[in-house]
Amino acid sequence: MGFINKIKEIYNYRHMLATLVKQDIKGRYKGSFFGFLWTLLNPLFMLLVYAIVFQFVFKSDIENYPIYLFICLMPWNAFSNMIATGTVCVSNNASILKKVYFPREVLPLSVIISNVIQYFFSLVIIFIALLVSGVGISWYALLLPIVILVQVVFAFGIVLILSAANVYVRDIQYMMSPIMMIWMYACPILYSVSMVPEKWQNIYRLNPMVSILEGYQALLYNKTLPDFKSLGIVFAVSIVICIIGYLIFNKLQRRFAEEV
Amino acid sequence: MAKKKNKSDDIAISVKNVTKEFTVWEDKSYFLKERLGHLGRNKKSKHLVLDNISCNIKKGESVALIGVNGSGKSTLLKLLNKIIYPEKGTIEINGKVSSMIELGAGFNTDFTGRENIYFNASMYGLGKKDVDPIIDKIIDFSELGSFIETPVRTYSSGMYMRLAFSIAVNVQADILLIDEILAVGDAHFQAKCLSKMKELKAQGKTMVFVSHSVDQVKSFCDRALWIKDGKLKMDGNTDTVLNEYMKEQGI
Repeated sequence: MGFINKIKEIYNYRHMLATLVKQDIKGRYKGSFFGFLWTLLNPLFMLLVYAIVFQFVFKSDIENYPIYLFICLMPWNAFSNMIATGTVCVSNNASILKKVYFPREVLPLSVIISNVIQYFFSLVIIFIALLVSGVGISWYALLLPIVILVQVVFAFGIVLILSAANVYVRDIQYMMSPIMMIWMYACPILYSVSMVPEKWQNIYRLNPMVSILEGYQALLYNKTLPDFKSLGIVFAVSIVICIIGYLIFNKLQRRFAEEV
Repeated sequence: MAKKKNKSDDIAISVKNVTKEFTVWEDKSYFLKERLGHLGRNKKSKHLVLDNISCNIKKGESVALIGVNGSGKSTLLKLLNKIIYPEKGTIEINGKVSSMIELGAGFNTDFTGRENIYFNASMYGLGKKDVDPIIDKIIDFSELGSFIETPVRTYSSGMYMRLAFSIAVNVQADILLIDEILAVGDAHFQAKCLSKMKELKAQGKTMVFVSHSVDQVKSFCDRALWIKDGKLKMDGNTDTVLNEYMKEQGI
């Protein structure tokens, strides 16, 4: 089936997509008293801890370090959640895969969408933190959707590949936790890009998340325009990963119901 | 058998030379270490489930699939539902399919019966607006009463089946694929299901039905396909096929 037909088919299953997203968000906090509020409370507590630890215990050369840290930690957590929940989104849905036909792409799509929605809510905390700490918000923040879009497309491509592969080789879901930890330290979250030695810079920048996180830092922390060139390259790479991911997913999905 | 082009409009399901093989692993593993360990050792074997099956099912026909356990009936039904894909051959489906395969239709067990109606119907392409007018009909039919507001995980298998069946028959599909679901319900609900299926048949829906109940097949289906060891052994009028089938079974 051609790509256009696939898009049409997924459109026909938009109600299923919407229901899965709602279920995911509702289900995540089902039975808890604060419910969806936890989406806000989690980052809030995290911010408080960082503010206290880095204000009084560790001192950093970076000005307003808790805010600096927070600006990239939130997008990173969102990215990391997308990958973690995305990797298992097919293999954990054996019961519906074995019983009902639907375009299987709906599963990774729903995970990405529900994570993006939760990410939007947690952005509120970033804005509050920026205001309260005195760092403030500039008009450049209006460009955030561009950076978020690049990040989401990148994550979606990876999720397409990992979710399909994990059905066949379950090691992937266990491998992802150490990989994400290493990846996090390879990103300018706890430190700034300028702290990376000159001779390693080129290799360091091969990590697409570097440009994305720098985008957040530019818009929210430095209040300047992001580096559109490097963001553009990452976007192009992400599109390529999505296409490869789609092809792999499409190839592997034929045996999903037999393998899960 | 050359058919004119305009005739294909009457065909609901067209199966051509379909072959399905399952790979049987002696010790199936999802993990890389064991997978690598198995390399070179011949621990897998191929099991031919369906061997070169061809048949056309016309719109409005009710067809029974009969055969002993393990003959490949359910596999064929899953192929028709596009849950699995054939190794060889093609399957064409004309119309919207609703199915009841292996009991239940993939409910999210933490959610209530009502929530699952919306979820399940969404898998048939129905949105909230489409479900709202028919939800009372679905709940009434399922006879779940106030249980519709409790999580599905608390349901008995009979209740589970009743809800799944009520949804499947109410989503306005053109083709219904039904796999031995009636075995679970009590006599009263079985009778109700059969009469509902007859009603749908009268409306011109196409149905493919797996059943071991000779009475159900006789009372309901115009045509029967007998599958034996993955091959289509006989295809024809229900009574004729059933007689031959039962003769071989020694009943």
